[in-house]
Amino acid sequence: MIPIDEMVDGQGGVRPQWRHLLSVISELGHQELTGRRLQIALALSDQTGVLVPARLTGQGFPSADMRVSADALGMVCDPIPLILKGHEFAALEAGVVQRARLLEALVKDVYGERSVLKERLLPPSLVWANRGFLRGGHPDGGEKTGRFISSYAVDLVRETDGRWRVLGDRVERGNGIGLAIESRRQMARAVPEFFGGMEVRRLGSFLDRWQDSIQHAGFSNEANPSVALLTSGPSSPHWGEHVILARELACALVEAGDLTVREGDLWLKTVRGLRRVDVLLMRQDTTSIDPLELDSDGPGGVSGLLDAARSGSVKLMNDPRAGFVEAVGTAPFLPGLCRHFLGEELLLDNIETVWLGAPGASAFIEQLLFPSGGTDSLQSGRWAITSALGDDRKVHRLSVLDYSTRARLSEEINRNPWRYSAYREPLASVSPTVGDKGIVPRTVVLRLFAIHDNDGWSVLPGGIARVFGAEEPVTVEPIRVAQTIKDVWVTVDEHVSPREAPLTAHHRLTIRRAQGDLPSRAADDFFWLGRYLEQIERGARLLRVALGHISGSDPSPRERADFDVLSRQMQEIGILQQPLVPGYGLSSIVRGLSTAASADGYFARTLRKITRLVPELADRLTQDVRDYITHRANSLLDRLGQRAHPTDLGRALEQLVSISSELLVYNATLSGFAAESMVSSGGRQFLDLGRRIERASGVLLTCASILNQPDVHQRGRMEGALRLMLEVGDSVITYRSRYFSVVQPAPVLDLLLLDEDNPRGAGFQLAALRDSFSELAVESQTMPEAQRAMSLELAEFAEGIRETLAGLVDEVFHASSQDAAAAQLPPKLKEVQAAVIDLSDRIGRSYFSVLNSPRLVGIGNETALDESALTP
Amino acid sequence: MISRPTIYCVRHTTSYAYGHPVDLAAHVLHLTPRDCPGQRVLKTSLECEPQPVRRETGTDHFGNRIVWLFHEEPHSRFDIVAFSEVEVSFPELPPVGMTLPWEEIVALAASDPEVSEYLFEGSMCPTSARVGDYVAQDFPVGRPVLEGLLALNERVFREFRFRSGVTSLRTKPEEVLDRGEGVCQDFTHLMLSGLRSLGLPARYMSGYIRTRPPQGQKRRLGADVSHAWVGVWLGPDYGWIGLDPTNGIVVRDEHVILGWGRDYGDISPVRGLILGGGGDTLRVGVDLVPCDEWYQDPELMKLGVFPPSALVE
Repeated sequence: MIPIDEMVDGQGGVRPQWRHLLSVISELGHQELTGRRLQIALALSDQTGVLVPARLTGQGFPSADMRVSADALGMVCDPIPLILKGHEFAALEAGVVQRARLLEALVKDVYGERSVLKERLLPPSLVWANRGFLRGGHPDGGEKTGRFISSYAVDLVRETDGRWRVLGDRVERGNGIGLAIESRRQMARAVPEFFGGMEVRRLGSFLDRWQDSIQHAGFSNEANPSVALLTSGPSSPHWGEHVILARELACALVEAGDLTVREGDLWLKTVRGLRRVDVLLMRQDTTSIDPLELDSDGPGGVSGLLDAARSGSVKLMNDPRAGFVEAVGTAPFLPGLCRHFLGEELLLDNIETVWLGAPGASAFIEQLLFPSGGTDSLQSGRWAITSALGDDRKVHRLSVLDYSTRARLSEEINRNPWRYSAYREPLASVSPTVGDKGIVPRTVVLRLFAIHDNDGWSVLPGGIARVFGAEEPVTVEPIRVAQTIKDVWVTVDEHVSPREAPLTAHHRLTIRRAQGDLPSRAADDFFWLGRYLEQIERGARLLRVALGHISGSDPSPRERADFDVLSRQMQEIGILQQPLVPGYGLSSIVRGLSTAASADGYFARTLRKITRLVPELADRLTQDVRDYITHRANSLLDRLGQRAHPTDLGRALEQLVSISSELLVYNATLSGFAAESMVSSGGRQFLDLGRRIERASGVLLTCASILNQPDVHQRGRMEGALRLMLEVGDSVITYRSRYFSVVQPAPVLDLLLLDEDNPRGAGFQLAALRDSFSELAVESQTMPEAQRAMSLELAEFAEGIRETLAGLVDEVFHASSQDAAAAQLPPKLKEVQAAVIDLSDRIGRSYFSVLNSPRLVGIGNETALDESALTP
Repeated sequence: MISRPTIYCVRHTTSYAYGHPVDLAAHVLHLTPRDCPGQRVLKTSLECEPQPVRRETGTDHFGNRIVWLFHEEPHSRFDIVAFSEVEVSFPELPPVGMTLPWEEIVALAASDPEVSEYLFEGSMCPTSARVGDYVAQDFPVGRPVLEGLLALNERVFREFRFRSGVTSLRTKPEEVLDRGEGVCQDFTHLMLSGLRSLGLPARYMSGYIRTRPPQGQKRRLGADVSHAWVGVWLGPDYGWIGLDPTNGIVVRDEHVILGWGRDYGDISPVRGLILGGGGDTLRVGVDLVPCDEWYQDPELMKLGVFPPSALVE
């Protein structure tokens, strides 16, 4: 038995739909296609923020590209598509629609009449012990019922007889639509040659229909229902898919922690308080979605969500209860169920599957596990055993089990045979794929998608094909690692006119507007992005000033003192590990400063923190910004990794100077981006808050640290200190334009600490913070009073800090000796700086914190709060 | 002989005192008795303090009465009082010999569209082959199912020691078997686990049992707590009956049923999710007294429906 090849017909001929593609493949050649594959992967990474697996890059690619990582979960899209002929797809389409209808009918029955049990169409164990069978409550007034399944995905394999069969049904999450759409887009850019001379069905209108049906899905008559996509977060292998999908559907991407149920409605926590959610697209494990009602060990999920769903205030898509149909055990019963519910013969069969709880299956199990005789009746033993109940999709491949493992498995199965199903591992078709050394045939599993709207089911005329490795068996297990996929093309056949959905004829699209408020979690990330960027800026500025103060081999005492102060300050904020000792000569100074600019120094660490935040914010940054943050950070990290020759001091210095300038340009560019193109969703405001906090704190530390040196009250020393403050505070020019070259404490401190027009000074930062909080407190209908009050309180707090500073500067101004008064300032400035950090904590508590962590009581998690039943 | 039904008054109080205020709370309560063969709920009420922002009533998957409560204001106490009048008269047992051999019950249960649910475990009480071996001693080939069940109920009562504080809700049946001691839900879980292992359906019954003060003493108010026992199935003719292994008795007219499920996890009286709190305490008190006595007793009458403190102190 050899698998079918999608491209060649087995008689030495190339199937007609592949001819064009094949000629382009041979024209481009393997190496070129490898490059195109990387191009697509990097483009997908730019869309999602998910890193690209390192194996793709091969030799000669800069490994410091931060989009690449050895254990990355990023999707790899093979540049060679899988082609389905139009009529072939039409047949699949009919089968997919029928299955979707069948599964909907099955779920409806299982949670309603249960005729499947009464009429013995499904064994009770496959209902009652099915992991996806959820036992929620029913309110007395009855619940709002809608459809259980409104989006459906199915995995198919083409076996050796040429027929497509179902490997598994996916309704709980059904990931991949976003990826299918995005891969097609990237394919068109990366391999335009393939598209020439071939007519391929387009995917666009499908998504419009889906979005439209989601907009109409809510029970409320809301004209603009608010839609959110629930993901399990950036650690999920499907995070990239969720980012794409949320963007394509223009909905908020949320995690369970972002949501809360109040008074029976579902809300998203945002920086302006709570915002209603009308439709929730489920993309996380649904069996633990509501800890209040469902079996669960911990308090994950959203407490009260099912209550909100039953009362009709939020529509869950799909209904979490629909996960029932994913269990492998039901597969053999589907033909009968199809006749029962639809009065039709099942069009798409499953791969050969046996439920081991069936009467008489014990002989089959025995034969399966311990085949007798040479040519066994089960054909080559390519069988695998897995859970029939969907509780754990672990697969035992019999062909790789030794005798003792089989014996253990046999014992386990014989104890509860109804828990298990066996399936014959399909010999799935292969399709040409870009391999390591050439174009190779690889096993593919096709995933198709269907959605339901007012006109019934429609199937995406395309999809994704999962590519399996050379020796990798096709499995029903869920995806846990990075996978390679293919774009799926459906050809437009000459004589067949495809049933394109007449979208505009039927539907008037709802007008949608951006829904402004920023989820608290994203606000938190923006805030820290702001702080990190400012940390880089301050560090780079200090480094540059320090480099400017390196003079020849014989520094004056004043130069020495300045350098001492700078070195101490760099040490305080972590740029330097050890103080520089200027007396030890230029080489030790340069070596010391170089550690700050090394591959694991201060700048590299902070840049890495920044790039780590980007995936979290992938759905909220425009592509330009995202690209710039990551790519530029990568090349900076690359530069930081390069070491100049230790003895070549000139070059080393030159390198430090250029690095510090590049870091400053990086920052300035991002500020520009933030001002110009990050208008949406309030992200900029929190980025800005982070920056202001960090800068205010930095200025205060600088002043405190520079004034904190021996004999600073002496005029000469004080003047040097003030000049240095202006220099580090990047305010020399501004000062000079006002006061010429006379340097006195009060004017300098006024400019650095109070002046609201000096964007480098603390006064400017505090005023900006104050105004930003007031802006957040602007009344809106949806914002609770408490949230407003909190913002106003923060505005007052910021103003309070500013007033304290004003008092300090005033004291210096009126002092009989300004120099002496200024010399007393350091401890007071440190106190003010601590207040700024306190303000930062308050921001966290007011906008980001998600209350305390929830606790589940009454089921034995917390013994103190369990009602233990005791009888006398 | 058909016994005269007894009407009970039952008052169940639950009081949480939180060390730190709880900001947000959601609870599902199984504190309202359900109607079922042998039991009729004449009157029932459920009050709580503080008042919830949202309250819903309904039934759970098993048909038990539930109340959902949602609190959204910070609070440091949470008190619930459920009061019901329930008429009970569970039918007398059939003669043991009339019941089918247990193997036939196994076969009947496996194909019954409803009873079959109770063949499968929930999350808190795994079916155990080892516990099954223990239970199997009472089920030799062909024994009438009721005979085996009564023997088992008696044996668990005899061989296990009632001892509170040594087990928790998370104690698994196998551990109870090894310890030889526990409280009512432990013995209940033990029997559920073993019976299911044999293929016999069994369900977790939550409710109350009547207690009497020692001879010559006055009854202490709120001294009782809730109780648990096992529901077993005798086939389509005789249906479900209750066995109380903690007391070694059959459920007749001294038990009041709240509801049932696969195990404690399905029917926890007060299950909740709270945000906040810490250093919390819980007090529970139950009074189950025949109504004619209740309405004669001035002290019981004084309890009223709320607040719970009058009774717990």
